[in-house]
Amino acid sequence: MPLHDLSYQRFDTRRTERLARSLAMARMTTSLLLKRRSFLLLLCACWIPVIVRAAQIYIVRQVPQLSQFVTVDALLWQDFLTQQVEYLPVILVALYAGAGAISADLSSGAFVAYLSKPISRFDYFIGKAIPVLGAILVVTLVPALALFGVQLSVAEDFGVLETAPLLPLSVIAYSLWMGLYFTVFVLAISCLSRSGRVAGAGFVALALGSRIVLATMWSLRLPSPPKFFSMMDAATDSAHVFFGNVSSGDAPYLSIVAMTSLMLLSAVVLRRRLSSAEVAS
Amino acid sequence: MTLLRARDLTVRYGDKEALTSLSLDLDAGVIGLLGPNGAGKSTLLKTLLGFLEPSRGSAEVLGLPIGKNGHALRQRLGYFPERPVFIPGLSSIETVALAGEIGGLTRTDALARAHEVLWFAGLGEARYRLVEEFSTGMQQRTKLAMSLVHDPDFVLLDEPTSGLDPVGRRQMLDLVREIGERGVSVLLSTHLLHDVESVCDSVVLLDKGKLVLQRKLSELKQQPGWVYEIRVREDEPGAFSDALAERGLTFEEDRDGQLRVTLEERPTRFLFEVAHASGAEIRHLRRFERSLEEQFLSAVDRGEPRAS
Repeated sequence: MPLHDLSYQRFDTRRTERLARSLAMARMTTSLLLKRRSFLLLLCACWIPVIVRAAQIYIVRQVPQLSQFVTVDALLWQDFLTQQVEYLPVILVALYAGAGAISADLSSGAFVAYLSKPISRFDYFIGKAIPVLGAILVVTLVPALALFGVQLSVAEDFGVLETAPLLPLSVIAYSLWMGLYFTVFVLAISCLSRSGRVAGAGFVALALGSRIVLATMWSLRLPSPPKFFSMMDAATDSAHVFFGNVSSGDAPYLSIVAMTSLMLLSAVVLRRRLSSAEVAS
Repeated sequence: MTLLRARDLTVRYGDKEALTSLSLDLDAGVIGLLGPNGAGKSTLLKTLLGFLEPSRGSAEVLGLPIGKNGHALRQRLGYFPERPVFIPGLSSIETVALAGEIGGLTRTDALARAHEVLWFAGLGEARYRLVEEFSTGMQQRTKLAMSLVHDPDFVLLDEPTSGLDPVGRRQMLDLVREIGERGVSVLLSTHLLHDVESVCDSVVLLDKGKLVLQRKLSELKQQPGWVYEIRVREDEPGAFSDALAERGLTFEEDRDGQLRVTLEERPTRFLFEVAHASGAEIRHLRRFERSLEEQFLSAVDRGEPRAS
């Protein structure tokens, strides 16, 4: 259009597929997240355990005598991933990326603007879930794969992969499972409020609160419920299923069932809330 | 081309009916959707967009049934919501380009189109500023650009002049008029009669969820015959009205008790003859020109569906 013609013009052009529309939303949300210095600092902090683990792998290789204290086997990757939940990186990243994801759209009116375009509520959910899931994978799957790289670069052979050839698959499957679990849950909490802070407080209260109750009962030697009553403990306990050492867990299959139930409940909340939110706005 | 066809369209919020048995046919053009607060204007727009499901009846927009072809329909619809819209941290060009991408444009096309519609909306110089920092008028223009960016055939505007100063309002109406001239149909929901008079070809009036009036604006402005406003003093109350009715004249009584009598060809002398015959004395007589506002108020008072 020539610059001097500022009148309204029609614009007939090729249309994209629906997935591309969700990806556009995800790309914009991700770029907004990455513009925040505090989020980048949080991601950096979440990689500190990776550096520790990498150093561990390197030192054990350089000083073989230490291998009686620290072993580099499949359990190292399981421990690393579960500690990313236990020591809060996953919770903090989900909180930062997800708590305000839908609530901000509800309060700013963007939700109605999105849904007035040719996308479904599911497309909208996908557009919001990808950045949260991606951020969680950046502190779980990506560093776990990076540790493989470190292990392979310092070892003379394929090391741990010779004894556990399915380990990369376990790492990928568990990271995705855990990421999906926290993503769906935090988005369900987010859609319940128009304030990201309120949604964030709710997410933290539910994620940490159940764990604090469980830990208190253990410390007081009270008859405590199984681990799957705590969101975070269920996530760590379910790792035993993915890494093939079910006997070491508390009740890993029940944890899987509990996590699936919570995800289904979250999906129901999301469906109901996203179906009615634009009516009220 | 039929733009909108509704048959017995009923929408409920729980027990409350927000739209009641709405049946109407609208042709392409710029249409004013008028009504007092709570008349069901926004409900109708949200129903057309597929946000609300009718509890009874059906509607077609651009030949597509609502509800079933949500994506295909919204591909051809643009929506200007009443509430402010912004995405925190995004400039107006980013916001409008994102709306274009979600509307089905490629990234490159969306950006090019966003520049185009922002220039059209008068935000060319401000397109790299954050929307949340805009004035109300600029936010309204951004919403207009968002509703147009994917090149819809039919735009639903919900109170586009709300919160604007007189100059901003006139500019917004000019934009709406130009969109209409370019072949895009517009449904302009407002409670401001002046807005409708300025840009619309036809008008739909809702009240309490019901269709009260649907007509071309040109027809509304043309009054058949001559209307006279009359105040009489009569010994026997109602005698003059009865005499008018006996002679087959149409008339109505306004809120102040004055009569408005419509004459087709007859001279005013005829009114004096009727008054004399009924024993009444005409104390006030003047030619009455009904404004659009009075026609609407009258239609709302009657509460009767009047579709042409």
